[in-house]
Parts: sequence; structure tokens; C-alpha cells
Amino acid sequence: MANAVVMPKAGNTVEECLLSKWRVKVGDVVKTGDIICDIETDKSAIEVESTGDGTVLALFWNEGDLVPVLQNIMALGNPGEDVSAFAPDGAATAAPAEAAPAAAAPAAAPAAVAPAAPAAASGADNAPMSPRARKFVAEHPFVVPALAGSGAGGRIMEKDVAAAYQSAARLSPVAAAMQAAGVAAPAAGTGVGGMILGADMGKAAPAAPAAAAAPAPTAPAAAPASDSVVDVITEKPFPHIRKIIAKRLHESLNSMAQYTLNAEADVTGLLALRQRIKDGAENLGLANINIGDMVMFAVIKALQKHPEFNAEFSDNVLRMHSSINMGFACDTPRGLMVPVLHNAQTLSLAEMAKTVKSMAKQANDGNINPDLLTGATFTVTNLGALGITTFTPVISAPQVAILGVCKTLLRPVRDSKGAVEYRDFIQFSLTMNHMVLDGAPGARFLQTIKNIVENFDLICIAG
Amino acid sequence: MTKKLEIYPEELFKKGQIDFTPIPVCAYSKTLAEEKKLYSKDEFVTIFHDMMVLRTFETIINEIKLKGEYQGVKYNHAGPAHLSLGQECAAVGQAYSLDVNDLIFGSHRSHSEILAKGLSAIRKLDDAVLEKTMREFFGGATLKVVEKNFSGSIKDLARHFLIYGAYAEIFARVTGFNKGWGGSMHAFFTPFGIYPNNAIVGGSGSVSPGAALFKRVNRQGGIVVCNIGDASFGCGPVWEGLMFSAMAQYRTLWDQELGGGLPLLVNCFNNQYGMGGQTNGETMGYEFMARIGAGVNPDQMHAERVNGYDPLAVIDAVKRKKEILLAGRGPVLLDVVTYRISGHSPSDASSYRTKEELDRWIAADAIPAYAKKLVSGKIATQAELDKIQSGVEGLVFDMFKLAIDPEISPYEPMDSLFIETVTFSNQKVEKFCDREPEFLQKLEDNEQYKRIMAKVRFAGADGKAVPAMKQYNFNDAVFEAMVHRYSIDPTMVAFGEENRDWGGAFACYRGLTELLPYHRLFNSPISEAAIVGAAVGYAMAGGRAVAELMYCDFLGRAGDEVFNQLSKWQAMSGGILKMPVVLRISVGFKYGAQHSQDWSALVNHIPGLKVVYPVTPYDAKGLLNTALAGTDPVIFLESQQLYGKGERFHTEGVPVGYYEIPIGEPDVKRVGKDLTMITFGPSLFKALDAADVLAAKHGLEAEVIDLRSVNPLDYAKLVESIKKTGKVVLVNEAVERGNVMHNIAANLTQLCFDYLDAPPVVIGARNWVSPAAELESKYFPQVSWILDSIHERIMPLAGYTPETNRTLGELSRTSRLGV
Ligand SMILES: Cc1ncc(C[n+]2csc(CCOP(=O)(O)OP(=O)(O)O)c2C)c(N)n1
Ligand SMILES: [Mg+2]
Repeated sequence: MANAVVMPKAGNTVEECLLSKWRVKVGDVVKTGDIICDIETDKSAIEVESTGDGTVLALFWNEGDLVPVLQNIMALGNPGEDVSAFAPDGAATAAPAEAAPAAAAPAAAPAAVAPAAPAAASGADNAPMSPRARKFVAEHPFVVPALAGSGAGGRIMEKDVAAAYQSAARLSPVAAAMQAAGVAAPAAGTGVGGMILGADMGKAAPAAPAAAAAPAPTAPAAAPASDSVVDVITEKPFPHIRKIIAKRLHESLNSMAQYTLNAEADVTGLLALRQRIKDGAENLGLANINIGDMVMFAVIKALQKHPEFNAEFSDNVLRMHSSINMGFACDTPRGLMVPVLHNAQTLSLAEMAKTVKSMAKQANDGNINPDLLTGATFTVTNLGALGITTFTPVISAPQVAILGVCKTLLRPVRDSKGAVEYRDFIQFSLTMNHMVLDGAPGARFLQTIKNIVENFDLICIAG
Repeated sequence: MTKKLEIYPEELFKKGQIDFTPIPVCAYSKTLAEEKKLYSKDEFVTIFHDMMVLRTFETIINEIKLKGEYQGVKYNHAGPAHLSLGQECAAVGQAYSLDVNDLIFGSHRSHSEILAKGLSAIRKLDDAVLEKTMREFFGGATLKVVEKNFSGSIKDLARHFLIYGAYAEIFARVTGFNKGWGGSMHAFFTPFGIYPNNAIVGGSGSVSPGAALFKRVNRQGGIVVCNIGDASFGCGPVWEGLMFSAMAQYRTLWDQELGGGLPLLVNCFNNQYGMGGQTNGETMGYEFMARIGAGVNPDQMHAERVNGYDPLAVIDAVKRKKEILLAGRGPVLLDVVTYRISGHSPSDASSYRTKEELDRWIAADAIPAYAKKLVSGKIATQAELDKIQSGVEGLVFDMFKLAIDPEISPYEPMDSLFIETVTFSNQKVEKFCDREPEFLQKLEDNEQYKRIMAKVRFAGADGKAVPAMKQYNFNDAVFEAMVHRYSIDPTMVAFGEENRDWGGAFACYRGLTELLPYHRLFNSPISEAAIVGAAVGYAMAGGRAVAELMYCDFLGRAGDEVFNQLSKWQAMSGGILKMPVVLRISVGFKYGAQHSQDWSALVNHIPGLKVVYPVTPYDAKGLLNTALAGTDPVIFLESQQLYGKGERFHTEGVPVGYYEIPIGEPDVKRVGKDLTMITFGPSLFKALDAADVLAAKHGLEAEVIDLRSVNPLDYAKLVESIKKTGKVVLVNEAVERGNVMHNIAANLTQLCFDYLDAPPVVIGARNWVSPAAELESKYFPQVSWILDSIHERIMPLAGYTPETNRTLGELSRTSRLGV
């Protein structure tokens, strides 16, 4: 009996996933649990396992397609079986061409919509668009930016829209249907990878990227003649996830007035405490709590006193959260990821440390629930282990600040009696959005953190 | 060989005169006593009977057309009705002397001829054959109507069948002789020797000689009668038909066992008028139509004028003429004086003749005159004749009522696609008769055959692997396909201008002169209408013909024969006729404005023609094989640029054996993914050159598809290619305006709209007259035009500078000026 494998719902908040790579092709034989494809949300890359056994009879989507969750992505069965009934509405021309989409498929997600609207709606300078290009747009709903067509008379051809598609904000099926019905699409949306979701339709873009006004590239200055050394350029195209990161960071810097304050805190006591925890870890059932955990715990405490830092800012409104959703940056093989510790203020240090460890591992393994990658109200990023003493972290919009944690340095300190003593100081770099937060509040926030760190045991006892 | 007809100056310059023999005019003068010795009473009465059938038949239609009812039965006949009231006598007199296998061809005004010949055939046919014929005709559909409640003899039943079938055809019913697809002006019924009637004035003049040719070549007995009007002798094709049928070679060069001159009776129903133009004294100069015979051949076509108002005079004349024809001394011309007492058609106000004139002819009416003769000569009583008359009137009226009854005689349903099944017969017929095909020598002994067998059958991808003389070429492909079919189908004949000793103007038939007897390959007069018309008539009569037009530019000379005859008769016959004719047409170059035109668009436009244009020897042989094995008319275009060219694509070489290439399948001659180029004819090579440039200079891989056929045409490969490339250029050498490629481009736009990155671009020759050979590159599509068009209309090519103006502005400008 033929059956279908669906796009998994990789998290409660996930509507669509990018199908980044097929690992199987039509004709392959697969078993339950075999990896069939790689998918990505903007935060994580996930391997999809087969949920059935049999011969791959049809792949309904192409690599690069954004696939609504729970849609059929692949049909399995015995060779020769008719699987056309499994073809989802709106599937782009998938690998087995012309796998006739089932006429009667109950449209969970509306089919890819009429092409006319997107083209008309967004081809800014009215360049004519070829029917083939329109077809492409219909099958790959996205907001077509102003394009210079490469065809005769500037006609936009398929290859032009295909190139634009690689970088432009895409439309969710709902948004595409709305656009076809005449609702205006913003230049970017709030969904995965800036995807424009139904909720974004008819609104202004969240943060206008400056890209549209990009100046024409000027001719490079003539390079000095070099007759012996040959410059070999190795091109490395960005994977989808990196593109999203890059875009986000660039947007962040473009849309905020970011500046950084540096401070340090004496962690000599903290280090001693950490040693004691380590020694008693087994007896007390404590996890391997490290300085980073303790600092994060301190920041959580500090944020409770400085709610303007545990906040999001957009449309001239500062939204301060009572819950502290602590994002912490992880360097993973797939690039930067930021798992989020939701309601961090409710956790004990031990609980917090344990959760952080397991989330970091999941992020590293690439199997973290995408829901755990969204909703941060404040972020901590730690480069101390890599020897960094100070840096300017970039805020994750629409948050208003980010704390960089750096290396611990040994410093001579004169005590009250005038004696010089060496103590360990951890370094902090706090980047803030000056549009929201001025220097003094920032300094006070750092002061609070420093206090907590330096009196960590007392604070813990105080609860 | 015509070398045996040598020409001497002293003979040609010899003093003398041309003597004409007197042409008899209404010379029949037998007395009633003499006539009584010739005819039995029954026969005398039969003539009256038949004339009455015709008169009643036409009278009913006349009344219906003029008054909308006949004897209280209302009916509206929307179509034409060219009635022969007044001409019945001439038709009955003619048919009386004809046998079933004497074939008649007619005109728009042929109801009387159909009925007269039918009644005559019914009398002559054996009852069993008659019954079988009716029962098998369209599965008995027509018979079923008249058989219901019928009791009587088979012959009587057949008379019902004939009258009903003719009416039903005129009224466009599915039970008609041609399922309603022929109608009043075209109805016919071949089992009774009634062949197509033609709404084109004089149409039968060029077609019927082909049927007579068929009788000669295939040693069939009987004669062929071409019934046309007096005014039709102003038509070129009629004159061409006379020239074709009066060729001396039938008697000087052909095997005399075949029978000599063509057995064709050109019979003029001389009713004195065209529609309103009076032939004698106004529109023609002959005074006596029969005079024309004197200008045709030394026999003067045995021309004679006959009194067409005396049935016995007509019978006498036709009998005598038939003897001449059977003796191989044809063709014959008969001028049968008659008069149409009805209008030309219902819209005729008789503004061209006086009432007195009409009254005079009504007074002279042949039917009452003949009746009077029978009664006064004591051959029959008035009562007997009255009884016959009322019997006939009842019968014809009954048949009329059956034919207009929509329940009994339905129209074809509006959604019926029957006509699609008979527009082309799409059959494969190896041979049309089992006789041993005639040859003058063994193929293995033929010098040309030996030359071809020694040739190299693949010329290399660049066409230069072997010297041109050694390459198996396009001409050889035509030769092989022709010889193959010649050796299987004994009915196959080929003719055209300079086809025999010359070997066809472009030598494709070189060697066939030695191989084939005259009657299978002969030179025709320079009569393009007759060449094509004869091929049509030959096929109608049951054979396979290959006709040749030396240049496509001469197609206009055969316009009607190609556009209305060759193309239409399969459909107009309701599928009864097949049209196994291949019309080879050479497309020229280098010879200026009237010798360089590709008119594929004209033939593509006409329903019922298959149109192919092979470019390579492989395709030429395969497509000609298919065309020659089929039953449909195929326009087989050949480019003079390609004669002598070897095979460049089929790397295994053109097979020595037989193979077919289906008509309608384009061929991908080069695979690519970035752009599609579609060609028809020799532009293929320009497109391939352009593809080379695109690959070398612009990194583009063009796919090049050779259509090979434009009708029928399977678009699948074209669509597949465009789905891949999104871009398409169509090129051929015909002028751009009205080019067949526009038709294909329009269809591709429909079929591939969502796959197109730019509108399809058609590149044809300039909308000018074609220039001298030295200037042809400014007229015919060049490689640069293709690149320029891609650059201007599809996608700019980096760093490319166009050589010609292919912009949309230029398109608008030239269109505005009509150039
Ligand atoms: C080629 C062509 N030209 C003109 C006509 C229109 N037309 C129909 S019948 C006719 C007169 C024909 O006269 P004739 O050949 O004497 O035959 P008749 O009608 O007298 O029997 C004409 C001009 C036609 N049908 N075909
Ligand atoms: Mg006439």
C-alpha cells in the first residue's frame, strides 16, 4: 500500500520549513527511520526520517521549496503504484514531473496562487515579466523586488526571478493567497527567514532593509599589476541558514543605534564556590555548574531589577516582559544558534545549568526543537572560552540589549589595608540600543550584575 | 523515347495549308420508321419515363425554392439548387447509351445527369449486384429508408434508392449519397458510374482526363464523360484538360495494346448561357461550340453539334462517339444544344432574356414533344404515358417527403466528428490492383540504380566526408522511394513537365525513362491545372498518381486543382473516395521573383492536404515512402538547394531497404537547453549555423527542430522543447507575412504560454519579390537574421552588434507599409 511521508511539524510555532536537501531519489528503497531529507527553519537544520517502508515513488517538492508543515513531501509504495492522490496542492513541479496533483485533495494550505498579482504588485519599474517568469513566481510565492530583466526590452525572464528568489522574502501560502486577492505584501515578514505570513499582509515591513537603496557598485580601482602571484578565489555560497543569520544581523545594525559598555566583576569568590559545587556535585546531585552558568544566573537576577533590559522595542513602543526568556548564543557546526531558556526566572541555578547544557547539546546536534529558538527577551553571548577580553556583540532585534561575557583576567587589587592582592575579574561587554537605553542605565545594569556576581552566595541564599 | 520522333526543317518549312473537315451540326435525320427498327416499345417508353423522373425531381425543388412548398408540403431548402429543367432530354439521351462502367463527371447543374445515369445503370445491372450494392452502401443506411414497407422488384427498389439518395444528399442528410457532405452541386454515386460533380465551373474539365487515363493505363473498358456547360469553355483548366487528353503520345509513343487515345467524351450541355452571359454572340467567339474541336487535333476531336431536344438524336450521337473512343481515337467533343427553362438558380430574375424567348423554348420542350411523337407514331397511348407520368410523380414526391423528414432522414448531429474521420483516410494501401507492375528492364540492370547502389550513404556530419558525386543524395532518395512503390503498385503513374527523358527538371527521375513504359511515366503538356487535375481524376478512378510541379511558383496555375479538388474530395465524398496522390513540388532559388517562392502557407491553409518538406535524404526517402503508401493527398515540397546534397544526420547512412517516416512528426536535429529553433525546409542549415555561433560566442545551447511536416503536425516535441528552453525562434524561407510559421508560433503561444520567456519570433523572407541570385542574402533569412532576432526580441546577447534591423519598430514600419 502506498503511503506518504509528511513534512514534520518541527515545533509549535513552525508553519513552514525549507526543504534544503533530498537524501533520497525516486526509485530508492527506504525503511522507517532512514534519513530522507534535510529541512531548515531559520534557526535549525533538521534531518527528516522516513515514517514508512517502501520504494520512493514520488518527491513532491524541489530542494529550496518552502513546504507547509504536515504536507506530504514524499510517496512510498510498491513500484508502479499510482501515488498521484498523495500529491499535495501547491507542490511545485517536483522531481517526478507531472505527478498530477490530486484534484480532490482537501486544501490544507491553499494552492500556490495566480501569478499575475505578485508580478504586478511588485515589479517596481513596470518591467514586463515573461509568462515563464510569472509561472515561476506562482510556484515560488515571494515578493518580487524591483528587477532589471535580462530579456529583450528589459523583459524579466525566469532566470531573473529565480535569482531574486534566492534572496527575497517569501510568501507563505496564506500570504500568497491574500496577495492574489489584492492584499499588499510588505517587503519582509515576521516568519521564518523573513517569510511573509498571513498576519504580515497589509502591514509595513517590520524593519525596512536598506538594501533597496543600495548604491550602484562603483568600478573597482585598478589593482596593482602583479605578474607572479595568481589570486585564486574560492567561492563558498552561503547555506540558507547562514543567509538568514547574515540578513538578521545586518538588519539589526541598520535599525538600531547600538553601542557597547564594558565592565568587569570580581569572580574570585565565584570561582571558589564553583570548586565547591564541583566537589559536591555527585553527593548533592548537582550538575556541572560552570562560571558561565553562574554569570547567566546573575544576569537573570539583574534583569528582574532592570525590566527595561528584558524588553523588545518596535514601532516606538518598548515592551517589557515579566518573564525572562534568556537567549544564549551557541557556536554550532551549522553556525550561530540562540536557544532560549523560557521563564528563566523560575529556575534554580542547578535546574538552569542542566537545561542550558541539554539545549546547547541539542543545538549542536541540530535537533533542537525550533520552538526553543524563538522568543528571547534578552541574550547572553560568551566568548570567554575563546580568549576574548572585550567585544561588541550585536543585538538580536527587537531585543534592546545583549550581554557579552568575556575571559576572566587576573588583576592586582589593593585591599583596604593597602596590600596588593591578585584577584580574578570576569569581563562584560554590554551592547544596548541607544534609541531605548542611555549610558547611565546601562552602567547601572552592569553594576547590578557585578554586585550579584561578587556576592553570589549571599544572593543565592537570599533567593 | 521522343528521339524517335525526329524533326526535319524541310518538312516544317514545306508550303501547304491546314485542311479542316466539316463539323456536323444537328445532322441526325432518322425517320420514325427507321427509329422503330432501333427501339422496342419498352425502350421508347423508358426514355419518356426517365425524362419524367428528372422533370418531376427538378420541379419539386424549383417549387420548394420559389414558393416554400410543393402540393401542400412545406419545406425550406437553404442550399443551392442549379436546376436542369429543360435539359432532361440531353441527360437521358446520353445515359441511354452508357454502360455502368462508363463514368460520368459533371458540374453544378447535374441532378439530371445523376438520375439519368442512375436509371440507366439500374436497368443494366444484374439484380443481385444491385441489391448487394445498395445493402453495402453506408452499411445499408440509405436502403433501409426506402426498403421500409416496400414491395416490388429490386430494380424498382433501386429507383427509390436512387431518387431518395439524391434528394437526401441535396438536403444534407446523413442518408444521402455522400452523407450530406457533397450536396446539390457535388452529389455522386460511384457504383452506378456517377463520379463527382463539380461546383467549380469547368472543374471536371481537368479532372476527368485523369479518369480516362486510369482506364487506359489499367486496361479498363468503357469511357469517361466530362459533362460541362458551354460557358466553361472559357476556363483555362478546361482547355488544359483538352490538351492533356489530346496528347499525341497516346497514339504515337504508348504501347498500342493499351488502347490508344484517351477514352474521354467532352460533352457540352450547351444551354446557351453561363449564368446570364450568353456564350454565342456575347462571351465566347466560337459561334458553334463544337468548332473548338477543330483547334485541338487533326481529328478535330470528332466534334459534332447535336439536337439536345431530341433524345433519339442524342442517343445516336453518344453511341457513335463511344465507338470512336473505344477504338482508341479519342478524345471526342460533343456540343449538345439545349436550353434551361428554369433560372440559373433561384435568385435568377431572368434579366438577360426575354419572355418571348423563354416561351419559345417552353413550346419546344422536349418532353411533350417526345410524348406526342410516341402517341402519334402509335408507339404508346396517351393513357399509358399519363399513367407513367402519374406513377413517376407519386414516386418522386414520396421520395422527396422521406428525404425532408428529419426523423427518417436526420442531419448529422452538430457534435458529430464524422468529417474528421474522412478529411484524411489515413490508410496504408500497398497496391490498388494485383496486376504485375510493368517495367522495361530489370531494376538491377538500370544504370541509375547501379550508380546509386555504388554511392556512400552517409556524407559525414559536415556533408563533406566523400566527394559530392559519390554521395547518396536527395535525388537518389526520391528515386528509391519512387522505384519501390512502382515495383509494388501497378497502378502507380507519374507525370509532369519534362518528367521522362529529361528525368524531371531536377533529375530525380533520371534512369526511370529506361526503367518504365510510357504510360507509367510521361511528359505532360505545360498544363499545371491538368497535371494536378488528372492526378485527382486518376485517384478517384482507383489508382495512385505522382504529379509534379516544376516550381512552387507555378502552384497558382493549378490553384483550383490543389485547393478545391485534390484537397476536398475525400471529405466531400463522405469518405467514399480515396486520394492517393503525391504532388511533388520543387521550391526554387536563384531564378528571381517567379521562381523562388516557398508557398507552404497556401497549402497548409487548405483543409485536406498533408504538407511535408523534407530536408535530408533520409527524411526524403522515409517521408516519400510513407506518402506513396498512403491514401491521402500529400504536397511534397523539395528545395532546389538540397538536390545533390548528401545525408548529414543519419549516421548509419540512408537505409538501402524500405522504411517509413510518419507524416507529422518533427525531428530534433540538434539538442540544446537554452533556446529552441524550429525550421521548415532548408532554413534548417541556417539555424544549425546560428546554433554554432550561439554556442561558440554566447555559451548558449540551441535546440534545432526540423518540422518536416506542417500538416498534420504533432506539437508534442515542440512543446517539450519550449518547456525546457522558454524561448523559440521559427525560421523558413517563405515570405514572413502569412507564413505558416506564424500559425505554428500562434499555436505554440497557446500551448506553452506559461513556459515562454519571450514571444515566439518568426523569421521569414522579406515581404518583397525575390531578387536576383546575387542579392538573395538580402531577401532570404540568414544566420545573422536569426542572431539579430534573438538579440532584439528575446534576450540581448552580450557584446553582440546586430547586422540587420529586427526590432519591433521595424516590424511595425514594414507592416504599416505592407512590405
Ligand atoms: C470557377 C467558377 N467561376 C464562376 C462560378 C459561378 N458560376 C456558377 S455557374 C456559372 C455559369 C456556368 O455556365 P455554364 O458553364 O454554361 O454551365 P450552366 O450553368 O449553364 O450549366 C457561374 C459563372 C463558379 N461556380 N466557378
Ligand atoms: Mg451554360
